[in-house]
Amino acid sequence: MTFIEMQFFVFLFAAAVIFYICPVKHRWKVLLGASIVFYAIAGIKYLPFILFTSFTVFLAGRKMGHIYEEMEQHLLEENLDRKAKKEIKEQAKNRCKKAMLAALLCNLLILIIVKFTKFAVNPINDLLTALGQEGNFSAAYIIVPLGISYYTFSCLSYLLDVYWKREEYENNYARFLLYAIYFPHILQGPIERYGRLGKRLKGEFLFDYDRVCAGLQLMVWGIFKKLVIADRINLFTTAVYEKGSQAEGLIYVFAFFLDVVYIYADFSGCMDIARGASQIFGVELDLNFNHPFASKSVTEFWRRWHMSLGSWFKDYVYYPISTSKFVKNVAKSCKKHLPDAVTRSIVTAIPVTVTWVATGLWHGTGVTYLAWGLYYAFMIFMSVSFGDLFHNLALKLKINTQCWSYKVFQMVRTTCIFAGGRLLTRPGTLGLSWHALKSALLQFNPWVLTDGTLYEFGLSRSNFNLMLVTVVLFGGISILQQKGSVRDMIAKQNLAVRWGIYFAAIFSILIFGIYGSGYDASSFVYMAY
Amino acid sequence: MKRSINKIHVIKTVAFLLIFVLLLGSVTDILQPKWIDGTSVTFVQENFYKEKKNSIEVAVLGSSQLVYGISSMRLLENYGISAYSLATGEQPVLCGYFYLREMARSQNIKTVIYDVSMLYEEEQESRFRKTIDTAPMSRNKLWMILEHRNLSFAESARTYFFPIMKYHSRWEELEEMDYHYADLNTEVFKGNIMSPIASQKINYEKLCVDNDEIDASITMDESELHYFREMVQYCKEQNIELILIKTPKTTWTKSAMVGVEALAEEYQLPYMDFNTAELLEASGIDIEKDFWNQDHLNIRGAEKLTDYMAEYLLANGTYTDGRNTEAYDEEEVRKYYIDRENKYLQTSNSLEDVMTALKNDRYEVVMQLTGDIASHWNENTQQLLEELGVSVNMAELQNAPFIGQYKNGNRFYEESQEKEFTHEGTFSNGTAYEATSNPSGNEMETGAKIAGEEIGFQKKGLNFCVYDTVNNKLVDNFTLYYDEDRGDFNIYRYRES
Repeated sequence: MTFIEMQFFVFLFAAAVIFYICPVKHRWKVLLGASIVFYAIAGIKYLPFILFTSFTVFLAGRKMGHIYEEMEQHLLEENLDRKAKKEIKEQAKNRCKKAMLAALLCNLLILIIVKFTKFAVNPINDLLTALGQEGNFSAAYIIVPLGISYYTFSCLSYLLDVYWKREEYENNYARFLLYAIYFPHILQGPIERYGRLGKRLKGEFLFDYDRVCAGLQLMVWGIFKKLVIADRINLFTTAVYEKGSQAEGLIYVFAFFLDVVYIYADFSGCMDIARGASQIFGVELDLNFNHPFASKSVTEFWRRWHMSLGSWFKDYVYYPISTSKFVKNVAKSCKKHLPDAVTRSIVTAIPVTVTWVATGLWHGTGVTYLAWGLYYAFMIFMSVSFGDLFHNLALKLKINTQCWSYKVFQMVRTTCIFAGGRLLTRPGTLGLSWHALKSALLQFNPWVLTDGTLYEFGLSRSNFNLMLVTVVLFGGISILQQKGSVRDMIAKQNLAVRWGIYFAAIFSILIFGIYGSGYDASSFVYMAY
Repeated sequence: MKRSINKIHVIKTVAFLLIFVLLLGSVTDILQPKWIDGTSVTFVQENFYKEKKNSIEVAVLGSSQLVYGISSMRLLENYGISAYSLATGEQPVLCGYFYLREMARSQNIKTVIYDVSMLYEEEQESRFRKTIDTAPMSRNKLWMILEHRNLSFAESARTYFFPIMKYHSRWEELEEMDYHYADLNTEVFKGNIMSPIASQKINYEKLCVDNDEIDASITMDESELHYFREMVQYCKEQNIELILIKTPKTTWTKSAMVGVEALAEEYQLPYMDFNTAELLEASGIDIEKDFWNQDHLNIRGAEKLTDYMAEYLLANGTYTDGRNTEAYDEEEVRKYYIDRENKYLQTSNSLEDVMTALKNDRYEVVMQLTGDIASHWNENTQQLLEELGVSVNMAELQNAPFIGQYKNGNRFYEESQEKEFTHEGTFSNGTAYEATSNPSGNEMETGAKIAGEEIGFQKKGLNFCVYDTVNNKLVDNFTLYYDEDRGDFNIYRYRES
């Protein structure tokens, strides 16, 4: 059940009614029940996976919590010298490490098996054949639980935060399960930290009419972005990139940039639906986007795009690696033989590369996603290592880096870098990506803008023009959002204007949305991860 | 502070939802296909609900063969039998069954005339959409939607309850008709539409099944048969007489007829198959005048079939004379006669029939010579034209350019010149027209203009425009030309495909 299916709205309505009918102190249980039902509807066979992950992490967290409590008790004892205290802390840490590693490794293993096994199908079949067995193993046997990347990362963040004593452990499994399986964020995130979402899920859950309305408005905006903007663009880009397509030159250029809008509208649309749905129950979810296309560098971009994933990899992969003994040792030995600047570059490159390769593989398991990860590793490395150098060069050349045109240049540059990254994965193979890039750079065919060729790729003239109008509208609203909440701006208007805008939005979805027979079912992009 | 919902919130929510529902209804109405072309499903259904309660005693159901093949108004006007046709194009038997139940809810149905074509047709989703989509919501529509879900190809029932889910993508095809279609209901009378087209090319050998071979592979569709049996059962329970008929169509077969005969015998039902020589003769159906196309009768054929059925009905049942009831609508009858006269003119494919139809004070005729008729002109054709008011002898004209304006024996304008010329005139109601006579020009140049609208003929000969000066509309335009194959004059009507 995705967020754009009718069943979801019926489910949400039923859940909200039961939620608010229920006495306040039991409302969290309604959320838990609803989340379990939501997950089971997707497939009852998936339930054991999330229950296993949440339970093992919960147990490990509780064990670590008890160990630390014991440790604190011991440290309060009198007559302990510093050495004894250090020993007690180290023992506790080692015991916690065992519990943490056990839970971490078995859940990571499940994630890896589920995501990577399809690449082992041929080798496994070859092995079976060599052993005289029938080699008919197929990836179809592998169950891929709904939202596994998201809930696994959420649970592991809790596990590591408890291990590093950044968070208190949770003693109630039902509460922890609610955090792991909470339905608005299970499909596509955001990847919430227990310290934030866990607390919010213990909130008061009081009914607030204005808050519920605001949540519904956010959902409408999210559905508009998904069904009217993203899915319409997708019809065009799919036709451009499909095998045998007659696309050339500027058509590819159009597709590159529209694809950027597509992924943003699709993903942020889903986030808005998730946040809006959660808001109905009085639970705030973290923002996952913060006007990413206003970024002036690629590092800034990844602080504004899919923020929860970026901060997860930063906190649990990048920092641990960059402060690890291994990197420290590498730095030490490099300093002996290499200049400082080179040493710094190497010390930066290691965690950046590992982080971005992991990020790439989190998104997908093919060569294209590996290439994507390496691409961003390179871009981030260049930005971090040479950003200041480029800035100083600009100043030396008397380029005004404070004027609005330079800032626009930076934003466009960042968008092009992002489009380049998308180009590695969107067409499906690196060969197609290369073909598209070559054609875009080498074939100049401006006549396609006026001779009707644009309307031969999945969209009629009316639909293509509507797509452009909605992209401009999307851009305008995004710019307006930087000044403040657009929902609040609308809320300040008179009733007729407010309701006019709400009805216009709803009926735009109903009329212009890409749904129903005649359109292929279009799920959210990030659900696949 | 404990927050809770208050009266203002409830009022706002209810008001918002009400406005939403109203807007949804309007937008759905605009986006939904109107199905007013062809068998005008929308108007057929709408008009049924305007009929007075318990005023209808005969239900006509089935496919388009009966939309065009029977005239419920003729049954009423000539025989006093109150009938209504809820036959629709390619109507699945499932829909026919539930339509019957719907009709019986508000009407006093004694007899059903059912065309059996669809028993042999494989069901398709598009047929259900056409039939169900525009039907007003009712208990039986609900049953239609729910029962049809059992079919393997059935689209989600949601799209029937909320058609906007299916048809929202029509936004880029919308035309003026989608907003103002209600004004276009001009030719549906008691659910029937009379066809104004006369085809001259019906193959009798294909039409008459008497000499056909039996093909055992032709079988009824199981699902259609199931709902037919439901219909039979329902008629039994409600004491309704069910009459099976098959209107004449060239794609019917003997195998199909034999199958229906067996079914009729099984249920002891009367069955009349008009694809046999016996019934074709008995009904008087003329293959040169009475067909619209290979599968449908036009107004002339429909009236003959109606007369035959009326005699059968009166011989086998008793019906209240609908002409003497409160439900009798004189305005409807007046419009029906106007439509009938127009369509008799439109289906006239000989000069004799045309001249008979033109004996009507509503019609004014503009004639323009655009081709050779003089070489084959004869006394008979001249006499016929003189009945209209023509004073010029066409043979003597020798194809010189000629334009005339006439009305039921009266002449308003007549002129012939040596060279091609154009005349701008007005009808008696002030409507302007423009006619050009150029016998040496080509076919594409044959045309006229009435009230600024171009009229095409695409044929050289003697072109006629017939204008209804009472109702302000062009009723017919055709060309009288000499048909070498027939060795006689013939009527040609240009129709855009």
